[in-house]
Amino acid sequence: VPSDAQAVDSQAVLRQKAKDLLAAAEVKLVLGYGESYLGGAVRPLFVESADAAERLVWNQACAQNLATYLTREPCLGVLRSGGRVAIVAKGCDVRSIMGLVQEKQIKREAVHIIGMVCEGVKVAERGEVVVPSKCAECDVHNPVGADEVVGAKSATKPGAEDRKSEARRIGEMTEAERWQYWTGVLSRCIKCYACRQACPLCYCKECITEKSRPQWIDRSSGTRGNLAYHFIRAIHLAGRCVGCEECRRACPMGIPVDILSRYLTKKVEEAYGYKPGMDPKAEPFFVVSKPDDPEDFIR
Amino acid sequence: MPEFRPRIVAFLCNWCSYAGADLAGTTRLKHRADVRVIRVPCSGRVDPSFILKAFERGADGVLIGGCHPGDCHYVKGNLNARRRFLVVRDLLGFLGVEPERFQVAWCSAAEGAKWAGLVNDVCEQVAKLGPLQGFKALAGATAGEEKEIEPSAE
Repeated sequence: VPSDAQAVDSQAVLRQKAKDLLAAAEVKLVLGYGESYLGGAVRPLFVESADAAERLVWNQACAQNLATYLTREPCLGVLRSGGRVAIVAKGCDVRSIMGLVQEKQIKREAVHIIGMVCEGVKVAERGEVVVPSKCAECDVHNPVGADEVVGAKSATKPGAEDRKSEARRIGEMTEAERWQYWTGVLSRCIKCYACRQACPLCYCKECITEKSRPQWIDRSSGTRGNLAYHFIRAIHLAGRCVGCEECRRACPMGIPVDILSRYLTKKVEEAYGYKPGMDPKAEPFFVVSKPDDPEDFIR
Repeated sequence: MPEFRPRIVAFLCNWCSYAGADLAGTTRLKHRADVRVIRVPCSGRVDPSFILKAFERGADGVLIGGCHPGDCHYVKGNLNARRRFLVVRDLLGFLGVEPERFQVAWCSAAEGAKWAGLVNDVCEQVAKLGPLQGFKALAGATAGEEKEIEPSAE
C-alpha cells in the first residue's frame, strides 16, 4: 500500500502528462478517473481539453478497469475517426487493453497507455472496504507494455493467492457439493448483465444472451437460465479473462462471478502455457490450434 | 426394479464418426441403444451451448465424435474443437458434473468396432453414475418451459 504522498506525486505527474498530450494534440481524449459526487469514490472521467486535465485524480479508490470504455462511446467515435485516445491504466488494466489489441478490437498505436504503478486498490465488498485478492496475487504492480509509466518502480512481490485458494476450496469439494455451491450462488443472479457490461472483453455488439431464435439461454432469472448464462460467459472468457474482477465488483447480488472465468484461464495456462494480455502480438488462445495440443481426455 | 438406461446425446462428425457408426450398423455389430445421434458437419461445429442444452433437456451424458487429428475435412475443425472441449470439460467438472458424463473420442469412418465399443463403455459408465439429477431439479425453477417442437407431418 503506497503512502498518500506517493499517490499525490503520481497524480500531479499524471495531470501534467494528460495536459501535455492534449495540448500537443497527440490525443483527442484522455480517459481517466475523476472525483465522484460521493465522497471518497471516483468515477470515469473523459478529458477532452488540456484545461480539464486538472480534474484527473489518482488514488486507491481507482479500482475500475477503464479499458471497458475503449470499445464504447465516446472513445469508439474518436478511434473510428482516426484519432488517438490516452488511457490511465493500472498494470491489470494494461493487460485488458493488450487483450483488446490481440483480438484486433483496437489498434495498439491508436491508444496511448499511461501506466500507473499501483500497489493495490480498495473496493467495497458487502459493505466493507477491502483490498481485492487480485491485488494480493498481482504480478503487474509495474505495468508491462505501457507507453509511459507514472510512479516509482514497485518492488512488491505477489503475495498469497487468495482467489486461487477460493477456487481450490471449490475444487476440493465433492461433485455434489460443488453443484450445490454453484446452484446456490447462481440462484441469486437477477440477470442484470452488469458483469457483462463491466467486462472489458465482453465487447460483442450482439450477445448470445439476447438471441431468441433459437433461444440458447433462458431469459428468466431462474437458476437454470442463470447457470446457462454463467456457463456460456465462462466459456467465452476462458483463456481471455485477465482477472480484473470488474464483474465481481459490478455484481449487485454479491456473486463471485470472476471465479469461473479465472479458473478456466488458469486451466488454459496450465494446458497450453498461454496467458492472455501479456503480449499484444500473441494470437488469442481460441484462434490458434496446434496438432500437438494436449488431448489426454480424448479417447 | 428395471435397469437404468441412460440417455446419451452423441454429436457425430458427418465425415468420420457418423460413417463409423453407420459401419457398425452395416456390419451388424451390436451395441447399447441408449445413444441419440445428432449428425454435425464437423466436431468443430459443436458449440459449448449444444452440450449445455443437451444436459438441460435431460441428457445423462454427452459424447462427441470427431476425426483423428490430421483427418479433418475442414483441415483443423477438430483441432479447434479440441481446445474448446478441454475448457468445457474443466468447467463441467468445476460446476460439479462428473467427468464421465462428457466424453470426446476420435473415431474414423473405418472404426465401426471402436464406435460400438465406445458406446457400450460410455453407456455403462454413465449408467453406473445414474441419472443426472442436477439439471432436472433446476428445470422446475424456470417458468414457461419451451414447447417441444413436433416434426411436421409432410
